[in-house]
Amino acid sequence: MARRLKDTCAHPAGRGAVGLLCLIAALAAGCEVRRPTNNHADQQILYTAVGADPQTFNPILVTDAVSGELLGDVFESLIRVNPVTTLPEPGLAQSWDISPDQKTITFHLRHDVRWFDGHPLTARDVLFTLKVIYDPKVPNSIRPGLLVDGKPLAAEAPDDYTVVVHLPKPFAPLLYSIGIPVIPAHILEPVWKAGNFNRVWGINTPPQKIIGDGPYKLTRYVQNQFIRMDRNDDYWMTDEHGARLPRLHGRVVQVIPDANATYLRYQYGQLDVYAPRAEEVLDIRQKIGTGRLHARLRQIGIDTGELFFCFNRNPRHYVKNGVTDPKLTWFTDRNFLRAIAHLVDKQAIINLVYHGLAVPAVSDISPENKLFYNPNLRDFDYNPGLASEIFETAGYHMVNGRRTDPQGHPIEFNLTAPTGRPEADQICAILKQDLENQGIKVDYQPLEFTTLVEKIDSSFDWDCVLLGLTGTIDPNDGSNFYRSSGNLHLWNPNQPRPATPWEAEIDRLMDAGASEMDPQKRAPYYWQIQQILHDQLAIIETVRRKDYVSWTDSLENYQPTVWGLYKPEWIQFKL
Amino acid sequence: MSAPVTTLPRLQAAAVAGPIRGGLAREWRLASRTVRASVICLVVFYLFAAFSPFFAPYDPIYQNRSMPDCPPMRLHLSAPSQWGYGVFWTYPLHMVDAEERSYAPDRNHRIYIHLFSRGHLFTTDSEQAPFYLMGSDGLGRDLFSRIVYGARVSMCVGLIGVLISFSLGIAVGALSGYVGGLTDNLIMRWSEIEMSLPSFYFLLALAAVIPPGISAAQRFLLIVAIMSFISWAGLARVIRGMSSSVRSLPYVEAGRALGGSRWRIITRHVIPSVLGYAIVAATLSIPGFILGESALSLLGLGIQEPTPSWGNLLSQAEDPQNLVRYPWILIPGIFIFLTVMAFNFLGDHLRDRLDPSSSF
Amino acid sequence: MARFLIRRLLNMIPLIIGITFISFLAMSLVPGDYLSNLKMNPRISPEIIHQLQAQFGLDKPLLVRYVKWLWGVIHLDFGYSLQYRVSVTSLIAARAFNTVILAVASMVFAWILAIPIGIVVALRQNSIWDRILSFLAFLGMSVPNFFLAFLMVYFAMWMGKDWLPPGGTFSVDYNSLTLMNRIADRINHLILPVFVLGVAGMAGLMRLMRSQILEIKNSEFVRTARAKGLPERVVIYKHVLRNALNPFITMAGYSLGDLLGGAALVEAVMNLQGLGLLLLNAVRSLDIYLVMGSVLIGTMLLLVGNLLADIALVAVDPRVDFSSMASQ
Repeated sequence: MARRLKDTCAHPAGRGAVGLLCLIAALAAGCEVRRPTNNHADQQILYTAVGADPQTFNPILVTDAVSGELLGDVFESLIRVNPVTTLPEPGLAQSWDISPDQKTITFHLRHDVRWFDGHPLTARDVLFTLKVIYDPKVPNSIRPGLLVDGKPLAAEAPDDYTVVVHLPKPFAPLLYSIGIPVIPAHILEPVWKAGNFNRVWGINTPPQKIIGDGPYKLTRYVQNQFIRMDRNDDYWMTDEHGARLPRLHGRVVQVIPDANATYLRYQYGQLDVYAPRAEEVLDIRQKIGTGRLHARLRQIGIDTGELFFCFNRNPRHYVKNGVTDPKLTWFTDRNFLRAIAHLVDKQAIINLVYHGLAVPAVSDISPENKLFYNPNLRDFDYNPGLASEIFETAGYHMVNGRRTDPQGHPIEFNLTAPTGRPEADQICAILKQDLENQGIKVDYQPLEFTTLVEKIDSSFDWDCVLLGLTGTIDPNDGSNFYRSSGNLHLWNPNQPRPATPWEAEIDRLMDAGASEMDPQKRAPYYWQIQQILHDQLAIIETVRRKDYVSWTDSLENYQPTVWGLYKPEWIQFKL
Repeated sequence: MSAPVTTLPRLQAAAVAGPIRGGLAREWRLASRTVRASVICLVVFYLFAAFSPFFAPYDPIYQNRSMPDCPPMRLHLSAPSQWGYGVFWTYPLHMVDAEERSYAPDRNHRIYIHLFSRGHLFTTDSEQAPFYLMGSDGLGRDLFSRIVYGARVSMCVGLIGVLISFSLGIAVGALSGYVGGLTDNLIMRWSEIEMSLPSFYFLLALAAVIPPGISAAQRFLLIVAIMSFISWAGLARVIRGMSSSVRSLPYVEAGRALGGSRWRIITRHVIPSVLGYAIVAATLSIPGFILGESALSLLGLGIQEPTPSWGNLLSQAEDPQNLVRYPWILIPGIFIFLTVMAFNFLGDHLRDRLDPSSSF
Repeated sequence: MARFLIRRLLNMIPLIIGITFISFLAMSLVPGDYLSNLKMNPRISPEIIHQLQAQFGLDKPLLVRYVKWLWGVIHLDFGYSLQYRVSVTSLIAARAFNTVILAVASMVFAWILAIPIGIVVALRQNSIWDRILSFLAFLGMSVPNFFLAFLMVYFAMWMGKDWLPPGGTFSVDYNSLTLMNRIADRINHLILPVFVLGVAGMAGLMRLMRSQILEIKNSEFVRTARAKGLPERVVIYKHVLRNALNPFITMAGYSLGDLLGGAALVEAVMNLQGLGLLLLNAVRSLDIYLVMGSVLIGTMLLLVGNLLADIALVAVDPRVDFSSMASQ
């Protein structure tokens, strides 16, 4: 053998091959990257990651989460929401008064706010912002939240630092939805008048041209790589010692589309903050324990969103030529739905899908929403015995191993979920197994998100779906979902008038809740809505993840909550 | 995508009939060790597909919810005194940490593995006390059983796909080459378009159009049909080239002179003459179908949970955390690899036997 | 030559139109459009969706949109990615750079190893090395590249962070590195993907090289050369090798087309920022102009590659000429 090897090496071509191999090996081994040692702390620059490129730098036109998150640091809003108390707190408006009849709100603006170019921020900017939002030619996602009974608010400015808003009736959600980013009138008004607002400040704009008033300025953007922001030295906020905030000198937001890559980079110290998934929590815990990762890991609470099952109750799909598909009868039968709810093995989902790092979801509102969460709902626990009892008493009997309805139709339906989410596949597989043990046939077929949305929104051609909606603090933001007229009223959207008494009741409660200004008095309305959804089983809850955040040891004052960072301006690296 | 058309295989009219007449036993003797191993491998996998319930120890969709991501269990051989229970046994594993999913053997008990018991090749008394030859997946399903049932999809996708695309390719190619003229021109332009399509993305787009609410078997057939639709064109072109040269061979011209109909000449002369090449090409194109199905299923567009296929079994490995913690989830990949390799070896061998003119 | 070229180029036009139209059709068969992604956002009302649809021209009938797109392409305007909100050209150019580096590196890797090994193996036909390497070549050809990618990711994760990066195109702090370090960083990130993508090609090439040499070694003209008393070394290098390399020249042309998206799955598994992954995501989120742009460029690369290959073939192989080529 050795002789033959020598032979091979002796042959010129063989020598060539061996030489090339050595060359490649040497080349690869020589590529040690000498990188500047982790200098985030010295430079006071925070490195984080987002999953996609921003789609716009125009805060009014934002439709994606990434742009919203980035521009939140560049444009200040009138009122902020405190993520710990979930109550509104001063932003650009240092205070506000509500008139006794609750129909007029007066905002008093700060006097010391300047745009990046030195112009003072005045009530004129606020009025201009509202005008743009209400412009029908400007497609934006802010407008629906600022319409009361479908009508725009009347706003006026008695002086440069006062904005008065008149409401047709008391409208509590306004204090949450008025948290709009204010834009500079002196720059954008001419553009808007020229009809070019929809094209201004796209992502091709040089970042320095984006004039905001927030704690950070955009300084550099390289597509698909990173966004660099530097501290706004003239930011109005100061800390308790009178020192200017923010404390960080800048932020670098990396664009990393792949979650696994993001995690890898966090482990390499290239990112300072990371929100791990369940399996990664275990990994981080282990690495911190063995000293391989110098970081902290904290459970910040229960996730604000959850996955739920929803059955289609849309007669537009199930009633054809006067003939009603039996499916509609099942899916509107509370007994049927109750039995299904008792077949959702939440503990198995928690253990198998989330490695134990989740809790059963009971209501559509997260327990983290301390104001509006209804703690009195009783969960449907996993109980196949009870489920089959419910089926039997309601007339769904087993015939030849198949569960059939009182009319003799064997029960079977399609189940779908968005593709590319392994947890959705697993949850559906778990439910499918339990349903099939009950003799119910389920066809599971995940769909591309766009396809799924078209079915829910337009063709209504679906039976049961596993979906998640993100939670918001003010339940009124979920109007589209709760109200029978909403386009996200999944089980039967865009109803001209409520199809059932309980949907009518929810509509009424939504109206009543929105016109009560006192948060404590508002809550009972939304408790009742949760109770109705729970009793009617319009959606069948699964579980909520426990949210974790890990950040590098040298970071101070980092206080994440499920609703966002608390006091982000105070974040700094240990000196 | 497109094969170089410059090395058209030359004709071997009698190539097919020759070796087959010799009998399978002779073929077996002539085959090399690797070819024999490949044949055995394929036979075993097709047996898996045909008799899945026998080879799989458990129900492939039964979820043992207390044993997710359980590692492969070790097989022990019992001492003579315990032969009454069975020869093979294993220690039961139980979970010691639900979050970490770590398991420890319980050395006080044994799970005996029964051969040829209750209609299975091997199994244990109950699914709650299982023997996981290749570990379990994230939902506590036996990976080996899933692989055995997955063979149904992965092994059949190649056969059915080849059947469809080759009957299409041969028919169209032979017709086009023999008839010539405008028909030929149109068919060839069409096949050029099909060959230049970015097939994988096309497949993705078409897979997204498959209607929901159809059974797993129908979905499987649709996916195969889409893949065949994309892949018949290459073969049709080669066959066309061969058959257009057959047309001018003396014996075909003689047939035509004797008043043989077009159809008769195509089926009697043209197709048999290209069959040798077609068989080789078919064998070598089966792996393409298998890999196509795996790729689609891996991306979540092919065969859907809970029906196993070797591709969708691998999708759990897409998360590197899973990959590092539970490396046995890569085992289905080994099966794909073995199958592809076996078909390659077999195809190579068949080429030597049936179509000796083409060297590569 | 000129007639041949004109003929081929003219032939390409209907081909490109056919391919792009079919792709457009396939994308339109999928219900919904890119804006469907926004519909589940409770803050985005249906009116906004309609406005955006009108803004992006998605509300027109299929044929109108296709003709409009084609018209744009003729004026070198490939349209606008709905997902990234930038022109398709800039998006593709950025990703193409990564893909071309990767593709060229894997090709070089495959060629510089495969050709010498193929030669050695062929010259020692049926030796133990021949058998071992031929068997390994079969292994290399048979291992699915996504599976190999999984294995490499696993291996890299297992080795830990001091070894090679298990994925990505470059490090996160790439922009703060010096030029030399940037190159080194890229090479570090290239090693595993190049290996994954190069193995199959290398195995195939090695087998091709081997069989080419074996065929030519026993051909008439080589025997003649030997009979003339030329030394074996001259026979091998001057006659055998030169002729054996012919098919490789054409192969280089054909692999041009595979540059685009030949490795989407590997890119997905190893998180490489290449064209394949871009196109994969574009198809899945119905970013139609991005898909069309990529398809068009892919098709052109393929057709031009084939053309170049045919021209090269005529140049090196005296047995082939343009008139025989044109009749095919």
